Amino acid sequence: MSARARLALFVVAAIVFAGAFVRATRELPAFGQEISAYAEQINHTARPLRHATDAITAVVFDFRGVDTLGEEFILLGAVSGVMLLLRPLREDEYRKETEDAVEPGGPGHTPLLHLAARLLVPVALAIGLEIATHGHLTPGGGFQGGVVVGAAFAGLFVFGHFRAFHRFAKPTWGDAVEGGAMAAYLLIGALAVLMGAPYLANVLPLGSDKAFLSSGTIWALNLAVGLAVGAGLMLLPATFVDQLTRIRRRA
Amino acid sequence: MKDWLWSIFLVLTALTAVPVVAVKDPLRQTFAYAAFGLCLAGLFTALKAPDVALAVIAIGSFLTVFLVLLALAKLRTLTGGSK
Repeated sequence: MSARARLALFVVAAIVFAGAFVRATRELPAFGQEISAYAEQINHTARPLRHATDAITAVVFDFRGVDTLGEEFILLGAVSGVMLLLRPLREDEYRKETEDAVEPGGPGHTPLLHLAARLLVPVALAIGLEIATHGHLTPGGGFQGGVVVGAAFAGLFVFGHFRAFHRFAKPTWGDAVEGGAMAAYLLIGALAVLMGAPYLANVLPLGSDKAFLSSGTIWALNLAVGLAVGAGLMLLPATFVDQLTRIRRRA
Repeated sequence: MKDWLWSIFLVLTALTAVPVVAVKDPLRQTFAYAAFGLCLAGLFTALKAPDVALAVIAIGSFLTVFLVLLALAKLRTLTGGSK
């Protein structure tokens, strides 16, 4: 297609899109002004019916639990795809031992980096686990918490603790946790069917407001997603780092 | 809601979004993207969505940048360490 034809196509598409976009946004409620009828419904159901003080988590893992299942499989597919693409190929050599140029206390490693690794990584890990396990009570949930856990592992590498990164960020447990947590999500859904309810219905004991063990399957599914996301986002950096430090094209 | 607070972050987010598409060099682009992520996180915090802000910082400003840097470093080893 010539540059001119492409430009003409773009202009037509842009005009149509702009018209539709302006028309669609004009129908929206004013920004930040009012609470929508849907939000009002959620506010009146999440806590009284599910004992979840974070309404968003109640929506994600209960009211639309099947959508979340699909989303988690997108993540699983993405992580698996990256790991498949970045595996050692036949023409590559894979080294068990890595040349770690910088180590704590060694040349090129400053005390500040050492302090950052010792201080920030455990704190980030704790914050991630807290957010992931308290998804039904406070803002955040399995996804947000899992992301922070994954970032904490990556932090080990960023702060120069390569040996620790290679020791802890391992596909062996990462694969098992990622797959196991996804299977747990499916099985919790199937549990409802076994108990005569629709798939992913909230059949576990709901407990009481603000209790750690409450909100039934919301709590359990949230934890499963936290484990899956945490393992997945640990696997991604581990896979990329392997490509850089262990895998070399044979000469 | 403090209108001026999120308004500032809205403008900052729009401004920092420009270099993300305008910068051609992948290395610089990555850091432009990290800056954009931080402004976006500020906007989410101002709009009372701290959990989303945290995810944006962890993914957009940290993990994505980290993965792109690793990929660029790997590319450098493949192309013979020029540059």
